[in-house]
Amino acid sequence: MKDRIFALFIIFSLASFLLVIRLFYWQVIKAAELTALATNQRESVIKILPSRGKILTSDNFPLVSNQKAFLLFANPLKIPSEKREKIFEELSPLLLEEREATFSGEEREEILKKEIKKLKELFDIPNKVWLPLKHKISLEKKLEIEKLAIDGLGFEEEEVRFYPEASMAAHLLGFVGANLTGEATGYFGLEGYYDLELKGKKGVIIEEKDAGNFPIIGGFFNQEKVKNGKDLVLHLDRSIQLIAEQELKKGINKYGAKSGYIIIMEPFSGAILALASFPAYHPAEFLNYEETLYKNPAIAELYEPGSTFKILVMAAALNEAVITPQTRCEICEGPYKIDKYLIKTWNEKYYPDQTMVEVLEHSDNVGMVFVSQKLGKGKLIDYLKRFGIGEKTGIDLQEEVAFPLKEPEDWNEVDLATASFGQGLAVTGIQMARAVAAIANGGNLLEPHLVHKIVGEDKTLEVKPKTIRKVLKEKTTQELKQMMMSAVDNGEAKWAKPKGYKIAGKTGTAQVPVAGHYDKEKTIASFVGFAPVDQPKFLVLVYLREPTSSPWASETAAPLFFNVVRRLFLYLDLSPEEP
Amino acid sequence: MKEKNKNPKSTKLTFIFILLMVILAILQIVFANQEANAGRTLQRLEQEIAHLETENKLLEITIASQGSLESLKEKAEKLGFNQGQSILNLSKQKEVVLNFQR
Repeated sequence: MKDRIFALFIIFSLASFLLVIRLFYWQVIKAAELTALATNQRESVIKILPSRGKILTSDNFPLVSNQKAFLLFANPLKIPSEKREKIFEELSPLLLEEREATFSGEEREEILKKEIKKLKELFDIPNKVWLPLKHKISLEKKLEIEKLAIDGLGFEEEEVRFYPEASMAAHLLGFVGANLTGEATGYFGLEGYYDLELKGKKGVIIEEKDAGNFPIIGGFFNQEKVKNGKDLVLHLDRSIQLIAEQELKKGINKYGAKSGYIIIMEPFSGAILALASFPAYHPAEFLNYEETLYKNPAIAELYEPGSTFKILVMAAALNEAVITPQTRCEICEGPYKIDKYLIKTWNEKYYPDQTMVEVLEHSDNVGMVFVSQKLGKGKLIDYLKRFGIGEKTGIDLQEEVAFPLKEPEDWNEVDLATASFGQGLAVTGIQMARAVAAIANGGNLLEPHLVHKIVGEDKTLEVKPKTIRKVLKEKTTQELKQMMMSAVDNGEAKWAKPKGYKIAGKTGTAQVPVAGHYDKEKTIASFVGFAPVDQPKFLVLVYLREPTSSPWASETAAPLFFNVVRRLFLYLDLSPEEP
Repeated sequence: MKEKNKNPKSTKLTFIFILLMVILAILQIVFANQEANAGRTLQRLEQEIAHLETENKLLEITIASQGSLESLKEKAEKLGFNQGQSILNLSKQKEVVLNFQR
């Protein structure tokens, strides 16, 4: 009897022990997993993607907005292997890019084969229950795919950038692509520079749901609010931008140039009213274009400014009172020899005893050497720095570059002479535009800006004009304006000037340096100027790379400048000042 | 018989307790039912908001497309508008008239 009781005791003890172990397994070891399973069953986690901020022109018209798009995904477990081949064949034509869909014949067959192969490879990945098949599918495409009624396919909403003005101001805008983790990220231009402001912050809603997947009102609810991206309101005037783009395209065709750009700036605030560059790309299809087109040449391409630079050197000399507009050149009777180099004028015409006003009118290199000698190396370098040459302007675009000036001890006499007429140093278009704006606005060097306001859901930040430093005296700028006006009225490009208006400006024809020497045929033609002279409303810089109809700026960049200016006078309602 | 009449208080308490239980049970059912309905309403409203937001976005896109300069130019050309070729400025003539009046 005792043995039986003992045996029973052992059996019960063992059973209890096994029960305890099993309970320990579920309650302790598997606790986290089970809790997660239970939570998953009743709690739903919804991630809300923020809307990327819009980019608006000064009249609040969206240059970049957002459009609904869809991510197509598949659950491979619901798509049996034997049916996959047929499904891939039906699906692949609908997954082609817009450009690819227009192909026909063998080319189309080839692309479809590639698409099917891609799908097969995706479905061959083991143990996957969710496969992203295609991002940014349009609503029309989604409806077409839904018509196929394929079980195991689904859609998730996402957003895609939409450009109502198509490729207008593409170089300013930049584009949105995916970073290494697949997250939408802005690259180049405003999208790149203001990526943090534009992208916003994801939101999450965790809530309890009942068996019918409806939210339980008194249940657990936790919300991390989504923060949509901020909108950017630009100074950019889309009508002026259109004028610049239309005239630039016409100009490039007419003068057979390789490329070109036009900057239009408001000289008293540094606001960029337009910045057109060609050839350009379409930001919505950036992958179809060469990467070399992504950078904005007006801020990322360096060039030797040539004669447009003369106005800066002249300004420095006038400001230091080492010359006056009526000072006569003492070395202008012929070519001037420095070291082993002979400095000549562009047309080999020489004007002895000419005044400084005439030096600018004739765009005389020897006359500028005279000015630089009067100014001296130290002061010239100092003024170039004060004009912001060799430093970034701080414009709110991502890819700006600058080529620093040489150290003062590395400058020799020849460098000083060639710099006076814009050779031997490299600038960007925006640097030149900003420096000349300082002459137009009475001597203040400003930071150029595209964005006027950053509009958030709760706060609006206004970007105020920023003066970097005072470069010139008011009197100097008045004198120089008259000299530049005279250069327009009596210079090589006077034939193209609209009558009755007071315009200040200067042409620049620079040679293109190639492997240690200058190319004999290729030039960069530019023109920078502003109007009306007394109270400038705009500054325009025109740049044409390698024009073929004529190498001279007076026959290419200058007439293009005047065509733009003529339309701006009309648009801004500025009537002629003289009959 | 006497014993049965001894505890009327406890009988009353038991009755109240049971009644309370029944009332609470009914309330529980009513509230649960209301909650479930409210859940449905909430979801329907959320769907409606999402739908309206989508509609808004689509309208925004349509307005932007219709208002683009390229589209306006096309419409103007269709209506027979042309770009002006010559410009007549009247500002100087206006001054002459003002001087004459003095």
